[in-house]
Amino acid sequence: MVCDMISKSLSGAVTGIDAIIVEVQCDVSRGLPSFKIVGLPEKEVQESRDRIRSAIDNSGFQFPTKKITANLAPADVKKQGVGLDLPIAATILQATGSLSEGALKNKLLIGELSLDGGLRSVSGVLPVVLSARDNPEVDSIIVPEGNAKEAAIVESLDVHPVSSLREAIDQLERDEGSDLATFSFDRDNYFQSRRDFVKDFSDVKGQEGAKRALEIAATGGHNVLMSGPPGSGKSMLAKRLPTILPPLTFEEAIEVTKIYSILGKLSSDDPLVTKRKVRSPHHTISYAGMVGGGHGNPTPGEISLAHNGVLFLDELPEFNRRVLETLRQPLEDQEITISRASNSFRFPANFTLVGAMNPCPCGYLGDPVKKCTCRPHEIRRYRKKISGPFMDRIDIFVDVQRLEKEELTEKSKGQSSDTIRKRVRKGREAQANRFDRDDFTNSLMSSEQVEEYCQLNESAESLVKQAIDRYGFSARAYHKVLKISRTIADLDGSENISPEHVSEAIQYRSTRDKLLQEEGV
Amino acid sequence: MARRGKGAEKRAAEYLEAKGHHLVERNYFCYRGEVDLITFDEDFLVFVEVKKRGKGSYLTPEESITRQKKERLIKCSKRWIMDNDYSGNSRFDVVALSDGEIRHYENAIQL
Repeated sequence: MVCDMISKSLSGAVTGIDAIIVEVQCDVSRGLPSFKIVGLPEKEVQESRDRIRSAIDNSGFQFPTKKITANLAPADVKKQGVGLDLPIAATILQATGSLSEGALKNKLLIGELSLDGGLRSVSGVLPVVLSARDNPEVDSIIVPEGNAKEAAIVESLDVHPVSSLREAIDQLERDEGSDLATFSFDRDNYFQSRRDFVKDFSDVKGQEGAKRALEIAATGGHNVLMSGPPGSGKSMLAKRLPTILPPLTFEEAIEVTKIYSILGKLSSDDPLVTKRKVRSPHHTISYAGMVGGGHGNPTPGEISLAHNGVLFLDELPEFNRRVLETLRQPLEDQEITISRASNSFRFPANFTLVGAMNPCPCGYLGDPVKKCTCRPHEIRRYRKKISGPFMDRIDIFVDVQRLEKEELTEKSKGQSSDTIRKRVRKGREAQANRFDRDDFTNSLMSSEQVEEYCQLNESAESLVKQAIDRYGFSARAYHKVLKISRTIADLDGSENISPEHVSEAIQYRSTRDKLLQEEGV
Repeated sequence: MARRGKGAEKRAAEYLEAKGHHLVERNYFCYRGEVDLITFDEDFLVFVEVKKRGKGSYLTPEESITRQKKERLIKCSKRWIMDNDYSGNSRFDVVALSDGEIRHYENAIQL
């Protein structure tokens, strides 16, 4: 029996939030003509056989009339994604002699083939390239043109964009002798030039109280719930929260871009997420849509898309209760763990939660002009839809009232996002000095840290005691008040927490009782 | 039926020989099924399925090759390969005859 040639190339497949480097091995031997892919290929990888067959025939090569076996190593991890089309086709062509020996050495290939032999962009390129960077066997990568910028975000690897299978093979052949022109992308310039927001806080008229609350939330990383009648500006305010958060660092941007890459939400014009995102899923969202999941290897959900940004849940009581309850773990841990029998997957989910709700089903309870038409039991049922434990994870509660006509017709603009952001940044610097970490905020303090950093003077303490008596604060509520006071003091540039800071903090907390109790009923 | 099939196989064999195939065997039977023609085309051993449809037939001969027929062909060819200790290249061809026309499909069936 003659030993036929076995060819190998490298590619990558996404599992969870990271990618593994896959070695594609191909054996073309004599026997009845067949084409098999082994190594736990998922449906779309199985289907690649028909794409590869046509693409090879239509690129001026001949698909071999032989027994072809392609193996995707490591063989015990499920392979998802159509990016494996190109490396499998290339190994087949090498095994049949259309590509010289050694042409695939130290190259990583990724791309989806179309039947005419063209190459289409794929999702999940960034995680693959990040894994390739740490793999000593890879020194250059061949990607579809549409993915070139995304791949070039990672420096230290040569990126060769190609538009078809034919071009890829020609490039690989040419590479033997002469050096290829590599693709270059000025990522730093791109990153710096794309960081300005179109929206601005000065677009929102009035609502100074809610703006102040969001400023505090942005500074200390606190979660906010806004309650108010329809049209009072809750959504407008929430969508402008990223404009006052400190700008994304490059490392944070990479983390976010990875998630967008896996979900195919990047394009060739928009290869890098440069700004903090607001995600506002509709209240009909499913459990898997919110936290991630799905068949085979789970994919990240909305909370991961909101990573390092804002998750805005409009009409909070309308959300499925089970969906809201699943947010409890990520709100505590800043990540979500999805467990499967075979493996468990962790997705980052460090977001600021902003909820919005009406005070009652019709929306006008407590409104000075319009009369509420809800029955008491309807109001009770509406408010009960959000569980206590979920509410406990929200720090700041604000009542957003309807605008007075003077405010509505007011011509002058409010404070701009830039002005607010400067103050937020100052407050964040105070926290960074305290915790010696850039990414830690007051809202994440443990109870020991609260004891250490949130010491009150006598008058402030007596104020808190009064509030405990009056509102019946639990231990957790008490700690929340202290944390918010700390943030307010940081915004103020003050080392110590004063009675004014505490009283403002108590006010954000006591609004909660107003929202939850059947006031006015 | 059988007589008509014989004529078609004869025509197909003549056609393939004219194309340069060397006939190895006709009507190879095994208990799993049948291969109409077995030929050599350069370095390929070719298992040929001959299909004929008469005038006015509803289906073309190409369409009338069912999955079951393919499976029988494949099983039978494996038997031949085993019995003859063959270890070279091989493939499956289809020769279709209808309305006096003859069409040859190389490598028409894969496992």
